Amino acid sequence: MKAMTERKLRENLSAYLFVGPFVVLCALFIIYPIFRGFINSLYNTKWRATVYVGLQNYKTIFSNATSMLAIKNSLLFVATVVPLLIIFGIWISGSIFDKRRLYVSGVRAVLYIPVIASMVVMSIIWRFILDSQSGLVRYFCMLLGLKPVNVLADPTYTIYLLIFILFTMNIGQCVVLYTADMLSIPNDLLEACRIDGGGRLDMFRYILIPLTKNTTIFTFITQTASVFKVFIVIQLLTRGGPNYKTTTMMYLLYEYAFGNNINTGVASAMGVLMFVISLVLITLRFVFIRREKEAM
Amino acid sequence: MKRRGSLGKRSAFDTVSNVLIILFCLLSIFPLYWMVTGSFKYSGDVVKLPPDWFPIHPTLYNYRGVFTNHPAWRWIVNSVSVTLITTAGIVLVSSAAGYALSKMRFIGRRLIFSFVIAALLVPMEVYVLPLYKQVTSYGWRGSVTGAYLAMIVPNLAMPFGVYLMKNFYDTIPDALVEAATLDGCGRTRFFFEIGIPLSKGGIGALAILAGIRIWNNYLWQLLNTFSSKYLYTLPVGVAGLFDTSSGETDYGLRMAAATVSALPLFIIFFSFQRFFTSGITAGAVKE
Amino acid sequence: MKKLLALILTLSLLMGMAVFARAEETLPDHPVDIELWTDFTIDEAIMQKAVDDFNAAYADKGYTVTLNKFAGSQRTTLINGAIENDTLPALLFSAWFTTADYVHQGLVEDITDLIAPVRDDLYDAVYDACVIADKAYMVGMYQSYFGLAYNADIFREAGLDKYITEDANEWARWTMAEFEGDILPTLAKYFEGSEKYPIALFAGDNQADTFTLNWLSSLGGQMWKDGKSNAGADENVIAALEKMISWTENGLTNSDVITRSGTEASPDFRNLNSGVCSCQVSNHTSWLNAMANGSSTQFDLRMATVPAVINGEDTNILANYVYGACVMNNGKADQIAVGKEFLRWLLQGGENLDAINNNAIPCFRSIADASTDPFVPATTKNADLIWDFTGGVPGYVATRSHLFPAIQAAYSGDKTPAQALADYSAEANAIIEEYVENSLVLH
Repeated sequence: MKAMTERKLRENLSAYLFVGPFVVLCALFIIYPIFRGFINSLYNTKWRATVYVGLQNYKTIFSNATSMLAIKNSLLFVATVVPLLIIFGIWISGSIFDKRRLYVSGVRAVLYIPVIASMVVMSIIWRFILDSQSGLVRYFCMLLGLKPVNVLADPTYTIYLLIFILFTMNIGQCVVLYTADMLSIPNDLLEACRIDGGGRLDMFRYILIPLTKNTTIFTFITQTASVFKVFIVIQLLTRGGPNYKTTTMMYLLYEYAFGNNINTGVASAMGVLMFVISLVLITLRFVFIRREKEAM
Repeated sequence: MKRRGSLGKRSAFDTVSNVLIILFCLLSIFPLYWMVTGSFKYSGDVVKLPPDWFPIHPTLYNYRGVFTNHPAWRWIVNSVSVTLITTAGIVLVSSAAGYALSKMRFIGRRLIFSFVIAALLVPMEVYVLPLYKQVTSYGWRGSVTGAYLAMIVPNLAMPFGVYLMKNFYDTIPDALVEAATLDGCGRTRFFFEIGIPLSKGGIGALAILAGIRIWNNYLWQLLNTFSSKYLYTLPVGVAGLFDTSSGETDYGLRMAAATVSALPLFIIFFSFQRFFTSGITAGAVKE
Repeated sequence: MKKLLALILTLSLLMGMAVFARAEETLPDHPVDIELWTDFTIDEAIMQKAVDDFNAAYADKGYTVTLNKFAGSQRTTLINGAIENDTLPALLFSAWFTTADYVHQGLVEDITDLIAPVRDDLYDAVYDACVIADKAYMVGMYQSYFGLAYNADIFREAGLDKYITEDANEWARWTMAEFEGDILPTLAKYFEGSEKYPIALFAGDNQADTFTLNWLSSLGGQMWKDGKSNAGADENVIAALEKMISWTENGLTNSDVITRSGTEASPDFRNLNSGVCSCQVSNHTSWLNAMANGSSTQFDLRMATVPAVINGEDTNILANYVYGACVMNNGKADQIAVGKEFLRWLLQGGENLDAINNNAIPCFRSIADASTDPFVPATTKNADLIWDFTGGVPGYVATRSHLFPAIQAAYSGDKTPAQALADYSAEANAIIEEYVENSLVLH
């Protein structure tokens, strides 16, 4: 009995040594600043004095049409890009994984290159191509005999273009995950499906989609987190324009924190809101899993 | 080759799918093709309409410009050192924590793990202001050492890394650990003697993912290096060249700079691709 | 009589010593490191030399100034970070209009006394520009008139010779009819079928939006009236915005006005991709320098004023930036003292002050008079065309963040020009009110 507790104690101790560095660093450089951010969101520091303003900064956000639009746009990005990534990730991977090895790695590498090239570089180049004065878009307009169209400046449709571009920047990550996962599916399962006369669609339905569920969950979590904070694409392609039609929460936060009309209190409040919304989004996924389990 | 035999008849759906996928691949790689070919063109030809689809008069002029007009070598050294040191640190911290969360039972384990999940979702930009203030109060500022400390230390705790490594260690059957423990091998020893060698793939994947993230951590690097162009990292320096107040007006040179800033990661990715695909799957598949 | 004179002399000597002693007394007796931040549009070497000379002169006291020069587009990010962080520099060399908001926020030291010895040498307009509620917060270092640059080579090739001034230093004064009826259409025709265009308009962000303000006022509308934004209420401003949009629709400008940044306009011009471009005098200087040292394409660079029609009469307008030096209230007394000492030292005159001033239009009469550059008198004779583009409103820089979205809204058809400008004015006035109410220096 005594040996047992002593072992437990020792295991606890060594476990703390293992997680210790992470916990300390995380507390110091993530949790503490988030906590400070929360405190800051209750103050106004704009005029060289720190004034407690309660929830005023949050009110500023909710009473402002632009920030409401930003919240809507951020959610729109998550609601469109994440499902697109999952659907196309499964479709592309499911269509290539049983082809020649070289083809599989070729497609995978090509789609993954934009991920490594970084969003900064990719956005700069997209901007360059889509420019309606000197970009290729103008050349195609000229070929079609059209007036140059500034595709980055439409109050209604530009945001869908951004959704597509963001999609091309992230799809590589998903294809890499799904193909690797599908390649590890036992060959006999696929054979069995074929022998039963199942076509490609049946294979998707009965094998590929159910067996890659863990990848889907992982993709959902990581991509929701990364798409929700979309910033660089916005900043480099449209700067939130025209007239804030493509702005997002992260972009507004940056504007409040570093832009001309600086207001760190509102910026902090926006950060807290983003934190809360991400938590809600991710909790949805746990609800979803639980439902599924109950159904089973 | 193994799978070719099992191809069977190709359905029309499958053929159409693959044609579309190839078209999509071309579209998605095109911007990079345009960047790389642009880097070998003279400035006027980069924006010319109708365009030159490939460099008709290829030149290295732009690359010379990047390295002679700007301290690009220093930027590379800064980016590489910061990325390597931070990545090594992240791998150490994350695999230790991931292992403990996966294979050790201790009080507070669930609490710590839920913190990891929550922290995973918070982009650094959300708390960048308070963090910047904190780092400045430690005096990490201005000098090379200061800027390096500020860019490295706060990034060592990477919740995503811990999550990935925990998932990875989860794929190592507990039975294996139990067996080793019965053989008199403590869980700590197991980590060093069996866990780490077994998780080479996971570590490789984490190193690449963390490396990409650190390399591209633009806003944080800008805040900590702006005081001198010799402190710049490659992304900060290159983005600066796209700002005309830098005095740079050459489109070709900008394309070359963008290419240079993406190149080191390409090299690393293609050298370690093997680890990457196997490792990340193992980390992702097991929930 | 002699006794009296002696007495006065002694007294003034004593007083002088007292003043001197007091100045001496406030200076820290220990080594102090301060930072000098600048987004001056002049050669970094000029600023570095001034800093090096100061450091050498004060080596015995242990005062060290470190220079940080950055791009104007990074200024807000960096200063906001520093405010949040309590790491403001002791010295900031920047344009007055971008600094005025910080004055209202209580971040800039009153340096009226420090400027007093050179007050008479400073142009009145320069001195007055940097005064809020009778206190001076910045001392002008150089002025930079903001108008148009044009490429005379392209003008000649396009057959627009008659609009080129004979004297290369002379600023052209075109009428609005000539400009939109002949110059722009001829250039558009000349560039047809290529990616080149006559003139860049831009509303991608607030960089160089003074240029947009120039055009918005070019039909006689008042952007500011009685310390408030007036743009939405003035039909001449609305008409000017409509005119700008019609230029773009008729292919007289670039087609990507909404997404183009002001900082992207000049590279196009300098790469011979446009014929006319927004430009200030300090850009003119540095572009000429770049051509001279071979780092950019050579062409015949000329300046022009902005054509305008005011009350039915043809005229021209210009904006003017006063670039200057200020001491920031960063809460560190010894740094502030050394920052002031640096300014006092710099204002004694000498080659450093001359070099900075001579990069554009000097702020000091003595330096301007000693200048042998014929471009200086050719420029200053346009002084009567200058209009006050900030209206002196508190919070001007903050209001800018609502101007470019308004232009975008009008250009994209999301709002009518009248509606867009009215919304902009309402937002700008809310900011101005906030600044007036909270300003730490107005009351």
